[in-house]
Amino acid sequence: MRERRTAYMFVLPALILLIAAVIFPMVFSINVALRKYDLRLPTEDYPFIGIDNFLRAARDKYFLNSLLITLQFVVMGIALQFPIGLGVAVLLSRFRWRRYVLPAIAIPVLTPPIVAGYMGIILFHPDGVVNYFLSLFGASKIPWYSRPDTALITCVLIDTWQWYPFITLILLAGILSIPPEYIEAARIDGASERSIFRHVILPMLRGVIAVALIFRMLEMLRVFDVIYIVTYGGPGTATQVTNFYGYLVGFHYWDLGYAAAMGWILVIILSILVTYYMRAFRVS
Amino acid sequence: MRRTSLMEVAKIILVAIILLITLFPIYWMIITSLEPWELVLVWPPAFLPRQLTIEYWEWAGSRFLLPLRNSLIIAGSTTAISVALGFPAAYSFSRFRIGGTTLPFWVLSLRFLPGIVPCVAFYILFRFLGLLDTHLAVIIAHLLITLPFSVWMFKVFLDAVPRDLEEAALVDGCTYSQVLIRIILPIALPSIAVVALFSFTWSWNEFMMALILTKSQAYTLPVMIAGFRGAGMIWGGVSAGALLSLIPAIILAIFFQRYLVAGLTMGAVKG
Repeated sequence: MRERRTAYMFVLPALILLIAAVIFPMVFSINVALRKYDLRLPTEDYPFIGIDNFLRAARDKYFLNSLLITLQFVVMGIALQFPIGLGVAVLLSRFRWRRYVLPAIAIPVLTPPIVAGYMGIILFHPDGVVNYFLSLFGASKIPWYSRPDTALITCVLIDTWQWYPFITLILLAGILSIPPEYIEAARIDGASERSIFRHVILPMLRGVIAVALIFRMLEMLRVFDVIYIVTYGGPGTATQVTNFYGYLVGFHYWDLGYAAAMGWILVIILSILVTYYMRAFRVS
Repeated sequence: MRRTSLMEVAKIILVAIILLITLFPIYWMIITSLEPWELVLVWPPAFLPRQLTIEYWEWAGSRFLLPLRNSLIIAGSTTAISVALGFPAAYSFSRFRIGGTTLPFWVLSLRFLPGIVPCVAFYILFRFLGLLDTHLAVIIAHLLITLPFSVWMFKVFLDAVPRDLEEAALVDGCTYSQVLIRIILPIALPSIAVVALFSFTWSWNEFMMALILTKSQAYTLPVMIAGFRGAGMIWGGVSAGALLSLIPAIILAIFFQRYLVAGLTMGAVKG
């Protein structure tokens, strides 16, 4: 009995705070999402309107467009970051001086995303370093983040600089945890390096690949910082991802109810994705 | 033999290219903060500085002091609270099995909550309480992420600590609190360092909630940097400020490399 009481005594302070800082905002934002919570209205009471905000989102072409842009961001990001991350992980796993390289590789992951975006502004400037390198190969100057058709990919590239090391670090940990005897055995049996990679290393990485991809996917679905500083959703609505559109609606047009509803739609999409994903990869 | 040494050289070159791309933006920011403005945006770019100035660091020194102080207070408090409350809670979860199996999923899902959801709730709440633009508002908002993170990381760590020592101490008449402080705490010191540094960095780097909950007093470094977006951006000065905000990242990357993977994946992958 004394045991139980001690247990709860240890948990209680954290639990109270968690309820205040976690449960309350969640429940409260559902409540807000179900109301006409518009701070521009001169009233102090915000009428309950059921799922009207959610229905409005389903008809809002800016919202639907933002979902599409978010999806593009995630797909392009994974398509770039996964191969790069995996390639660098394999390279470093066979690199003798890897422990001197790793701290440098880790810095982008820990950098404030706002700073990463700020670096991107400097480097992708029309007269910046990126265009200079491209001009060496004969390309003309690209106004990276100020043109609708290149703005999103610019944000993806900045995100890739920051997060490919995340995938590298995780996959490298996975590769290094494979017992060397497995690879030795395959080599003795006459397997080529390529088939060792495909049939020994890759299958054993399944678990860590699943973790790396889901972390990255979920983070990218809620991208905000890079978009805010580099393009502010623009030009036009070219980079207006859902989390950013929610911010505009909530904190520029002060329609907090609608913003909360959009946030919860994103949560629902995220949960469905996670559930399917976990089933597909059979990770617990 | 010749083939292998060729492979070695190729590997070194590849790694050098990767390092160059990864570190160049940081190098370029240092140059930008030290070179007179007219020389930064020249075509072709000058990759080595031709003239140095500390003008922009002085500019940043006066303007970034308040956000630097705010960031330190907010990230420091968030970290202290997360560790002080998270550790005993994790001990309980680990040893007495409170919380069951739903806790991990709950903790994980919180980290991926789209920012707009808690932002709306916190904004209305703190507006009502008159706490907008205070350190406390941002600290509470940041605890939403760091506290579950710390509970979870400590639990992963404590689950791996054998119980023999504690049981011996309990038989000898120690109370649970004594066991926690005298026996578990010393063993757990490295994990405390990791959780503290990650909580600190997370709070330090966080932008969206800090942006929405602050205005002219409690704003943090990322909010300050983002404030210069658009045409009025003064590259040299902002670069100096941005470099200041990179300090925790660099410390963590160099000295805590070993724990990085566990911290980044919340213990899902061990480094």
